[in-house]
Amino acid sequence: MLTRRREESFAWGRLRWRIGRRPARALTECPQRPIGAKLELTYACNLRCGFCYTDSPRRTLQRTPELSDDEWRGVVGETLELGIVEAVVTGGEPFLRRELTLELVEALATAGVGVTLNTNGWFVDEEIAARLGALRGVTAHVSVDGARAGLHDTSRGVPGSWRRAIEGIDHLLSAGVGVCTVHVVTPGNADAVGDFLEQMWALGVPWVRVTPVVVNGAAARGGNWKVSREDLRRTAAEFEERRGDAMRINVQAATAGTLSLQGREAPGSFLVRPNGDVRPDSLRPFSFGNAVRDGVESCWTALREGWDDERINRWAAGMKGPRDLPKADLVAYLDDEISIRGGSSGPPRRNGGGPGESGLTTLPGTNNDQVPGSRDAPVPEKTPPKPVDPAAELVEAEEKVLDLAGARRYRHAALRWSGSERQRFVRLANDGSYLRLNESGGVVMDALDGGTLADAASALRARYGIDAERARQDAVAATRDLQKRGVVMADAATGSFPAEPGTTDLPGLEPSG
Amino acid sequence: MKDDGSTPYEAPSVEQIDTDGAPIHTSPGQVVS
Repeated sequence: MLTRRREESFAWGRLRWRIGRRPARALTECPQRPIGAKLELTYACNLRCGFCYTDSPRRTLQRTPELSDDEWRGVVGETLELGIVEAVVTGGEPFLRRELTLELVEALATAGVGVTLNTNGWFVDEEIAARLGALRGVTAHVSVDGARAGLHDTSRGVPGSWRRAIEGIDHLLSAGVGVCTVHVVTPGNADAVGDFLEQMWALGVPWVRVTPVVVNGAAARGGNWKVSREDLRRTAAEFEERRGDAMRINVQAATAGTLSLQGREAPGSFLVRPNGDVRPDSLRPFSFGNAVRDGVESCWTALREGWDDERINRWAAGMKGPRDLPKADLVAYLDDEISIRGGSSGPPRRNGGGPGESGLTTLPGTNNDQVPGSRDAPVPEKTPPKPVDPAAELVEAEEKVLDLAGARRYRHAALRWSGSERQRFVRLANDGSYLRLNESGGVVMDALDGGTLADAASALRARYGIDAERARQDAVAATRDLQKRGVVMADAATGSFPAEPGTTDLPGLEPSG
Repeated sequence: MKDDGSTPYEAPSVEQIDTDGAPIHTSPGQVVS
């Protein structure tokens, strides 16, 4: 209880700063050139999450205008010239602007920028996966809110979205793209987080992030979002005790660490809204110009000079903790930004994202006449999934996941091995590290040299006469370990997963939805 | 070994070996673990 109070207390965060216990990577002054950029390519989304921190369902309904493809190309070009090392490409749902998203991710990754791509996975097909898999340093953060369709589809407001997300993740993993699944936890799905972790492990996901709702945007309209971080950490620890470290789990800390340090910790990155307005990050609804009208460099200069502006400091100081976010006079993504210096603070100049230009879709009930920026603006209705038996649906979901994971083909990384049948020593050419495998580990390793996880299970059964379920479970575990250690990779992969999953947001690990 | 000569089943094990910078095989017959 005390831990939670401290974690969610902005005063505690400020006290820790004053006594010198600062976050290791905290900046006390803005760097001359930005370290990272978050690019919100579109307001629009095909899902209808009630907690969406960018309030995308409302924006989709309103068809809020956004930058054209050419304008985005210009913004990314200037951003690269200015100098960044990491980028988050997000929306809305970025693949509603499919070609633009792929083109910009390719431009960033080719320049050596580490790219995190946030997506709900709906539109991720084999072609998208192959194009991303051909790049270095790209990870996909895919939203999945439960171990079965009923949980996820209720959370996301569109039936079929769990299936599309899982199939999208499988496409990505099969192409060698590192995937971090992001689970937004609400009181409606918190009890099933353990099942979710098991399922992601079986699917072959290397990273999972579990996060309570950050009460900005749509979530600030109301609703019960309270879940226990202690419970989530306990669930994660139990999973790691059971399954080891082949899948890394991050339970997101409270937002106190960032907002409590407004005026103290300087930003190292910036965020570009779909209309081009430039903000420090997702949490602070203050703009520092427009990337198209003023130029990216000019906006960064304004942010360097004004990140500790008294108006932002007063706004942040008025909150005691994350629970005050929806009570503030100004709520990120629910209200239009306040301009600190020359931002357009509201609707952009024209609609650059209409149908036919970038493939934007229109949800049923779209109303072009709505005025954006209102807390009371109408939002699309969710479509509830059909009632089902949860236990039967979970079994069905597990079978689907195992079928997808079982059919994925692997190959060996560059390596040599020696030893004996009962004890195998492997040296990985990539980093020179050594591994020791027991006999059955060697059986799985051999089966994955061009084979599938199902082939590995069959090989264990044939060699040892064990039952099918145990063979499958052990083959899953060994495959996860072999992939984690860099012994095997998806057959179509160009290399192993990156060492780190990247961040869903900049700076740090802030809102998701 | 079982009576029939086959090895009893043990779950697969994949263990990273920390050699502390040394080669895995430091001298004949000696394996760092």
